[in-house]
Parts: sequence; structure tokens; C-alpha cells
Amino acid sequence: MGNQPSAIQFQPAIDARNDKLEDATHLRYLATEESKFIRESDQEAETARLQGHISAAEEIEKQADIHRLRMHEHNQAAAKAIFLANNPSRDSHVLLTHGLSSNEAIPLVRDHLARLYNIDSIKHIVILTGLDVIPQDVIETFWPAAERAMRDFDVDIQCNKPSDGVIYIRFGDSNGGDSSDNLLSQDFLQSDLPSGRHDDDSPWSGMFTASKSTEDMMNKWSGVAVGAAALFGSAAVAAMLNKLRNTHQVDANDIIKECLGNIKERGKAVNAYISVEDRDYLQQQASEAQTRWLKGQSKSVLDGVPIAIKDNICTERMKTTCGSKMLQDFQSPYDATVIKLLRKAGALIIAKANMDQFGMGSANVYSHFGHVNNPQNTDGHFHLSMESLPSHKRSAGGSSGGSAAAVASDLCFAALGSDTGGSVRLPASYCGVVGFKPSYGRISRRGLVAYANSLDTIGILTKDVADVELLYGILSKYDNQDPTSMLPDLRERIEQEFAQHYDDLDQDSLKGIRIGIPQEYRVQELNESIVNIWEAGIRQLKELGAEIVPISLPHTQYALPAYYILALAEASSNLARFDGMRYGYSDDNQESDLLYADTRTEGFGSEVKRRIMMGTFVLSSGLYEEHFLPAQKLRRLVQQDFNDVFSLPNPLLENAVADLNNMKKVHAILTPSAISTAPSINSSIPEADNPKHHSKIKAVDAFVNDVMTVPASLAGIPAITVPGGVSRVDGWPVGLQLLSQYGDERTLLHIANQFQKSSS
Amino acid sequence: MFRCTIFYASKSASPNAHILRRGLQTRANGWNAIIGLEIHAQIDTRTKLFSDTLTSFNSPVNTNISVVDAAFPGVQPTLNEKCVELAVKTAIALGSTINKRSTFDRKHYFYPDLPQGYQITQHFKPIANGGVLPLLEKDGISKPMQVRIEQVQLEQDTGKSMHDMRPNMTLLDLNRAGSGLMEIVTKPDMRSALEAGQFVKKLQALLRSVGSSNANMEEGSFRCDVNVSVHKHGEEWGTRCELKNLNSVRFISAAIDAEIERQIEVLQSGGRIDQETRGYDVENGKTFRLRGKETAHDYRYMPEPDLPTLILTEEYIETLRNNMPELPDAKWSRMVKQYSLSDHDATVLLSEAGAAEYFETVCKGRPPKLVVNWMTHELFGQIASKGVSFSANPVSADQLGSIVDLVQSGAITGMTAKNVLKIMVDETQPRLALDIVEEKGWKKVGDESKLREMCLALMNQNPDKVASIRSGNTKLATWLIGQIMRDTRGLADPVALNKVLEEALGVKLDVPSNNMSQGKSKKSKKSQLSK
Repeated sequence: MGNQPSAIQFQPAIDARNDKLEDATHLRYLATEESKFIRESDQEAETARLQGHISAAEEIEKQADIHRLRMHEHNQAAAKAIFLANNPSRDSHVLLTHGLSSNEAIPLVRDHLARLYNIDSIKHIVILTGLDVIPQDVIETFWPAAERAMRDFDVDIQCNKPSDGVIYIRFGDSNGGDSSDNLLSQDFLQSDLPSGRHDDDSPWSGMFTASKSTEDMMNKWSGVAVGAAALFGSAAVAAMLNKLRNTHQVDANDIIKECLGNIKERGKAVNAYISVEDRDYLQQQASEAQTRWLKGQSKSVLDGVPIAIKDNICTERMKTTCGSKMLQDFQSPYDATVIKLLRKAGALIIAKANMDQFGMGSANVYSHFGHVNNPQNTDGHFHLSMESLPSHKRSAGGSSGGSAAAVASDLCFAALGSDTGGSVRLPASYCGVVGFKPSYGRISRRGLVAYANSLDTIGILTKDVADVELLYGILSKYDNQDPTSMLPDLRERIEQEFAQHYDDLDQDSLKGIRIGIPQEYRVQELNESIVNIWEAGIRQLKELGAEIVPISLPHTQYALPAYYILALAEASSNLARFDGMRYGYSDDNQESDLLYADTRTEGFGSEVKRRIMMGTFVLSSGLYEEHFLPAQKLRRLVQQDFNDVFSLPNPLLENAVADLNNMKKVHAILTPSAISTAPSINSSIPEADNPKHHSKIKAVDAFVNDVMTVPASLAGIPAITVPGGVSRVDGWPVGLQLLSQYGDERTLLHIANQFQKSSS
Repeated sequence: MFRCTIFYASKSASPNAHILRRGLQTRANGWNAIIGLEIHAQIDTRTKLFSDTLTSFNSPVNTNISVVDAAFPGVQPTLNEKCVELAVKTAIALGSTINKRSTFDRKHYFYPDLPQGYQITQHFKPIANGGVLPLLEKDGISKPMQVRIEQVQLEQDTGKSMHDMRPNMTLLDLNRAGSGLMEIVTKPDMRSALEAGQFVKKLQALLRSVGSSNANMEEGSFRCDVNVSVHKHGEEWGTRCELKNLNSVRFISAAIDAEIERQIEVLQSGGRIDQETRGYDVENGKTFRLRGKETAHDYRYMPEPDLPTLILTEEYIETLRNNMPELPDAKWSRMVKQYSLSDHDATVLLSEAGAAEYFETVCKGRPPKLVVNWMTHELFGQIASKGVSFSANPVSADQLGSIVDLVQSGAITGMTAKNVLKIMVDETQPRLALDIVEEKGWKKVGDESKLREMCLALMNQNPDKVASIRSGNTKLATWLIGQIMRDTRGLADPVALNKVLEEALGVKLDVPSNNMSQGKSKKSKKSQLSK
């Protein structure tokens, strides 16, 4: 990336260009008209529904869908016209992807093309924003053309300068929905016109102007453009960032600008954030960070790096809502320990991320601030789908859905989430990013609003395992304000006891590593396409030199019920403090004796109330012995399962000894992170919460989504999900999960890193 | 505070006499009462049980609260080691078995002064089980007995709700929320209000001597719930009722009696006792129903997931065991023996926290009987009349010692000594007795030649009285002594004066001395001095 890009200039014939632009303007007008019609139709349909005229409503909706398709056609044509206007000789080179946010697509396109054409040095990608939804027939006819286009493109590249490819890609906007207004953004139109001005606030302006002249391109690309493309698009973000910074090729001011631009552009559509930090404050912080960088006095590798925080981690600045009405205006008087550590490292706390209320949910449909939409709108192979029609919106996963979506759509560089039973790993898997849950007690929970204290951990979401390592290094500190924080001498002891094993790790391969495949994770609910990805992952690890060992974790089937009994019992207790007395929502218009009941009835969402009731039930006198105690016993059995298969001893157990040479014991375990790709949002909302849709979906149906992730939570062991590939069936990403012994984050991150490097 | 002393000193005036009578009465009717206690004693530590906020009594409302005490989102409890230490010491003092592994649990109920919505307590595995507190004759019990301890556990205190300060409003003061409590539960071993009352007093003294609690009922640092049931002699135990919100030993005893009476009346009139919680109406001397069993809470006990198992090593427990302060019963026996004190004096000294230590300090090189008299009669009396408790006693051991020294050496009279003590009690500046005596010119006139001069002069002026004395009316000599005392403003050394006067008159007089060390009754001293 350090190389300067080559210059490629296009000089379309002016007349033809103007014609095309006129066409585009007209087409865009038509699309806008359609959009108005659709909006009206939707309203009519809604009214009809409310009045009980279901069939009429359906008819209107059907009509609206036709117009929706037409709108997309117009948009499609307009986009094409624009492109043709600018690149008359390259119309066949337009590469359409849909739904993927631009930043996510960069590495995918690059890698895809690199593999396809065996070019290992496609260095720059120019992105044009705008298109929304592409109808199925367009996909079908267009995809072969696009493939051809790429081939042609390749030839062109080779003709121009084989080693420095520039690919023009037309990206879809991930908004979904009725967003014709931004289909062809002003930015796009104007930035590519020779006389056009460009909006400096537009995140992509640098990109567009880059095509205007060599000089512009050189200037811009050495700054924001390279920064953005390199940072967001590349895998090892922080490592890259440091490299760029040390050569002064990227500027903290530009990075924050970039993020804020992305938030402005697609923040609403993804709905990943509940609060965003004050712009001036962020810019000032960034500028201070940049000054430190220039002086060579940066606080850490994260100095000036924007990081999003799940909204159940307390911050003095910005509200801490936990995604709930109960705390919708809650301002924490203190910073969580992780926030203190991040601030000390110079990181910029850019925003508070959306989440399922109080961490309760696996699809992020239980937020008081609206659903999080999965920004990952394609499988990375650039075929287009109907998926982003409103009714087909996919879930970002939960409960750290906002954190995962923010990382996936480049609204930040990394995010913190919380993982109680998979709340970091599941959304990371659905959104195609890396999600890491450390051993219980590694990272301080002080300031994390408790869901189930004995299971809660703060987790890290990034695009790359190497970045997880950087953040983990900063956050993994003993905290005397967290009574469950791993004690300094245990941390020390782990390092010493595992030292020999760590010395044996091979930096560039997985030689000597044994990885277990637990048969019990092949549950009935596990999607076949996921099994395929799992198998591919196993092959990949083998290629890296790891030895694959079939293992058995016999109590896995009890993990899920045990988890839900323990977690909900603790949750019902933890949430007792939200009574509206000292802070938070309070129902003021009440007869005094019902103050608590009314406050809690109104302040908590449906799922929270269901879980409180279930938790209260299992703690009731008599049932405690029947449910809670057996669940605790099962939890110990699940822990025992893991201790039985790991070759490193559990440092929490006295008398445990290393069994490094036992070939049946393993260093890590590989499983899928989820039983499916991201489910649609509609299918994640239980009938109880949306009685109009007779979906027959029960609230507890969603519990099964956690089946892959809860055993590690019960055992307190570290776990990480790394993008494993995309489903053959629907093209959506899914993650593979690696697990290791308690305290053995190092082996885990080493394997994950090797795995991810070899995937790209 | 001082009431206690008076109480011991004058048993006949004690309300217990009345209680004792009633207790006997019920037994005479063939009814037996079974009583068990549940005590909540605030642990006397600087900071709270699970936060580093200061504990407080009488601080301005809502000033000693942290985010932990107010149960803000995201906070966790961190155990105060000092609380553990004091609870273990208390358990050792009670002879309980210390559990090397104990756990914390959550007890759930909703109330505005309970910020977390649960109380952290030790329900499943408390810090100590078992133990016993003996009640002896010296404790005011007719027959020695043992009250067994069920368990000792650590738990959090709640805040305070004030319902009567604003109409239609409940005000909250969270200063107390999160302070450490020891819950001490007894077995149902007591049979009368007297026994329960004496147990409470003895436990208070024990906690104070261990230093684990101020154990002050008025200040709320010692609270006691009582379980009472009655049954006919020889029959099965009856249903118990719990008495709550009793804030003095007197009310505990009175409430128990009232409740025993009520239960007997109900049963005798063919009624049934329901398990319920009752309060005590001081005005009417009757208990009243607070809530029944049907509205009893399901506390949904659950292990506290934020607090790991509390592990105490043998070493830790032994270190504390070897560093225990001397406990009241042992101290009482030792003091009676070592200082030849009367049982009563020893009891009085031990009834005030710190008094015994004070006594022993003053006693160093001084006669114990003299010291105990000056302490229990004079010092206790003077500070009590000023409404000052012994713990706030302004007179240092050195100061009191200096008074005793002057009295003993005959440098001042007993009367002067009392005045010196009064000045010490009133003054903020701690001066020794000699300082005060010199400043006031109160040194005893012990110079015999000067006294002789005065005597002779007086005799010359009153030849008739002299003649009368010489003729056998020796009682009249007190008049002469009184005159000289008046002239010397009471500073004449009575012994020297007596001697001089005897010599001058040539008559053997039988006038009592004013020196307290002679152990004469206070009354006679007073009557002599007042003349």
C-alpha cells in the first residue's frame, strides 16, 4: 500500500457525456416519481390494514412492489448512464454489487479479483456510491456481463499498467428501503463533472476527485483516500494504520472525518448507533492525537483511533441507555474501567452502539432505539439479491448488533461489545467480522451494566484478529474494583505455566497445534451450508499444519438449558435495581402504591420482561432446588468437558497438570459460530410482540441461536469468531468459532490470526 | 449511658423487677414462653461493607453515598476486609465455629431504601455457625444458663425511609445503605423477658469489648427482632410471632411480656395464634399486627455472582484468635480477683465500654478501692449529670490519677478533690490536679502549728464550749472543727486538725475523718461536711 498509485485518466467525449448525463437526470426524475408513488401506496396500505381491509392492503402492496421494481430499474439505468457518461469506453466494466456497504466490499472485490485473475497487486479501488436495490432479472442478466467486464477490465489494466489496477465499482447503498433520494447522490454527479464542486464532508469525495487528474489523485490518495481505502479495506487495520502514520501518510484528523462521514452517510440506515459523540470534541481529540503522532509521542497504537462502545458500558460522556426506555436518559457519573483504559491509550470514543435491551436478545430486534440492520448485504461474490427489500432485511445479530454492524460498515475501527452467552460472537458472525470474548475475568467488568454477572464478559469486535490483539493488550488489566477480575498473580502464573507451550508456537504456521472438532456441535438445527463452511475451515487449518482431532464434549446438549436458567435468574436479580427511584425512567403520574409496577412495566421492553419473569420463576422458593441448583451442576459438567479435552491445564484448578504430549488432547476447538447465517429481521420478531403478523414465532425460538456459543460462556473460556466464508445457499457470511483453555488467549489468537491470514 | 450504671447500682428500682414478677406469674399459671432473638449489629468500621464510602451516624442526609451504595448500573461490590475481621472476632468471642468457606447471597425484595432491589447477605453458608453466650448470676439472672447461637452472618444494611416528614411523601436517606451488619441469630433458648433483656445487654457488652460494634440501640447500631411463642407446660411449642422495630432493651422486655400475655389470652379464650410479624405500641403497652404469613416475602435467595467464595485460612483465624481482647466474663473474674473489687464494682466498671481499661490505667500504683470509688461515684456521676457518655469522658486517666494522688497524699481534702474533678469535667484544657489546686490555692492546710494557732484562738473566744467539751460533751468539738473548716474554706487537713484539737483540748475526740480511703459511708461524710 505504500506505493503511490498510478494515474489513469478518462477523457470521455463531451457531447456523448452530456447526453448521457441528461439521460441520467431524466431517469432519476422518473425514479423519484416512482418513489413518491410507493410512499403513498405504503401509507394507503397501512391505513387499509388498520381498518381491517387486509386484501385491499395486499393489493396495494402488490402494486407498490411493481413500482418499486420500476424505480429500481430507473435507478439502475440512471447509474449506468452516469457511468457511461464518464467512462464511455468502459460501460462493460461496471461492476454492480448490491447491499454491501462500500467499505466492506473493497477487500472482497480486491481479493476476489486477485484470485480470479491472479493479480496479486490490485492496489486501488475507486468507489462510487449510490445504487439501492437491483431486481432479480437484472442480476441474472447482468452478472455474466459483469464477469465479462471484469475480464475485460483485467485486460485493460494489463494494457495500461498491469501491476496497478484500478477498478471501478458501482456499489449499492446499504440503506435498503425507499431511498431513491440517495440513489445517485449529488456528490456523485458533481464530483465527476469537470466543473463540479465537491463536498469536502463527503467521505468519498477524495475518491471521486482522484479520477480528475493525476495530481489530485496523488495528493488525495496519499492522504484520506489511501487512509480510508487502506484502513477500512485492508485486513490488519491497526498494523496498517501504524505503518501509514509512521510515514505520515494518514492523519488522525482524516480518520475521524472519514468515520463521521460514514456515519452521516449510512448511520441511520444501519442504525448501529444510539448516541454519537460531539463532532467538535472528536475533531479536537483527533487533532491532539495527530500532534502527538507527529511528535512521535503517541499514547499507544490506538491513539486517535475511533472506537464504538456498546451502550451497556458506562461512559461519562454520552448516555448509557442499555438500549432501553428505562435508561433512555441515563447519564453515568463514571467511566467504566475499559473506557478509562481506552481514553488513556488515546482512543476516541466515537459513539455508543445499539443493542438488545440490557443485552437480552440474539437478533437486535429488542432495542428501544429500533432494529439494527445488517449492513452485510451480500455474500462477497457480488451477485445481487432481493434481500434488502424492507421485508427481507436481515438481522445484525445480538445483543451487540450495533457494535458488529458499526465495524462492518466502517462507522468505527473497532468496537467493544459484551458477551454473556454469545452476544459478541453471534453478531460478529452474522455481520462478517471478528468477535472475541476473553476468559471470564480477563477484562474488567466495572462499568458494564450486568446482565448475568457470572457469565458477562466485555468483548472486542474488529475486522482483523491482529487488531483484537492490540485492543486486548490494552484492556486485559487487573481491576480491584471488579471482584471477579483475574488476580495479577494468576495472570502471572498462566504466563509462566504456559511459557513452554508458547515458546513452541510457530509464528507462520500451525505446526504442532492440535485442533479438536466436537461431534456434539453437529446439532440438528445446524444448517447444512454452515457444515460446509465448517468443513472448509477444517481443511484450511490442516493446510496450515494443524492436526485435526475428533473430540467429544458430552454435556454440550445441556449447556443451553443450563445457560438460560442461570442467566435469567441472575438477570431478574440484576434488573431489580431499575425502579425509577434514583435514576432512569420513572412513571410520575401514578398512585404511589403502583409506582414500581408502572415504572417497570413501561420502562422495560417485552423481551426483558419475559426474561425477568422466567428468572424470577426459577428463583422462587422450591423451584430454586429444582432448576437453579441442577443448572449449576450442569455448568460444572460443561466446564469439566473442556478440561478433559484441552492439553493445557485449567489454571483455576489445583493439581491440574499439563498433558501436552497426549495426542488425543487439543490446544483449541473449532466449531461454527452460529447455526445459520443472519436471519431476516421479520423472522426474529416473535408473534407476541407483533400480533398482526401471525408468524407463530415464539420468543424462546431465538434461544437456539446461542447453542454454539453458550458452552464457552458457561465454562468461562476464551472464544473468538472469525469470518469463515459465505453460505452457498444465501450468500451470507458465517463465522467459525475457536475455543481454547481458560486463560490461554495467546494460543487462541495465534490460531485465529493464522486462520484469517490464510483465508484472505 | 449512665442510666446503665444507675440501673446496676439500684436494682430495686429496675423495670426488671416488674418483668420478673410477670414472668413468674405466667409460669405459675402453667404457661411457658419460648424466646429466640435475631440481632442486627452494625459493624464498627470506617467504611461500608462493599464500598469505600464512609459509614456515618448523624451525617447530613445523603452525603455518604457512592455509586455502589446507590446501586448505579455497572458497579460491583468489593468486600471490606475489616468487616470480615470484626465478624470473625465476634464469632470467636461467641465460641462459634468459623466457616473456612462462606458465601454471599442475594435476598430480594422491593423497597425504596434498598437500592439494589436485594440485600447481599449470607443465607446458604454464613461466616460462622454455633456458639454460646452464658448468662450468669452477676448478669442479673437467678440461675446461670446458656443461650446457644445459631449463626453469625455478614450482610448489608439498608438506607432509611422517613414517612412522616412530608405529607404524602417518603424521604430517603441512603447514608446507611450498604453499611456492614452482623446478623446474630440465637436458638430459642430464652424463657422470659428478663433473660432476653439480660442477653441483649450482655451481647452489647461483648460486641463493644471485641470492638466490632457500638451496639447502641438508640442510634440504631444494634437492632433486635424477637420470636415469641407460648405453650402449656408439658405440651408442644406453640406458633411463634415475630416482634420487630424494638429500639431499647426496656421495650424489648416490655414487648415480650405484652406478647406473652396476648398469646396466652388468645389461647385461653380458645383462639389460635397465627404466624405473623408484630410491632409494639409503647403508649398502650400492647403488640399489634404488622403483616401476616400470607404477605410474607419470597426472598428468592440466590448466590451473589459478583462475590467469590470467602475463604479464611486456619492461619488467619488463629492469628485473630490469638489477638482477641479480654472478654467481659474473663475480665470480670480477673478484676474481682486482681483488684479485690466487689462483684458489684466489677460489674459497674464493665458495663461501660472502656471503663475497665480506664480503671486499670488509673490503678497503676494506686489503691484500687480508692480508684474505683472515685470512678464509679464521682467521675461517672459528674459526667452523667452533664449528659456526657463515658466514651466521651473529658477526664483522662492521668488527670483522675492526679486527683487520687493528691487525696492519697493528704495534700487536698475530699471536698476539694471533687471540686477539682468538676473543673476537669468542665474544662477543655486537660490540666493535672496539682495545677488546678495551685491556681485556686486549694492546697490543704496541714501545717499543725498554724492549725494549733487557729484552734487556740478559737478556744480562747469560746471558753464555755471548751469547758463543755472537756466535761464530756465531745460532740460539740465538731462545731469547733466546722469553724476552722469555714475559716480555711474547707482546706484544713481533717486528720491534722483532729490531732491538733485533741492536743489542745486534752480530750480524745471521736470525729470521723474526711478521707475517703478510710471507707466510711458516703452519707456520714456528707452530713459531716455539710455542717
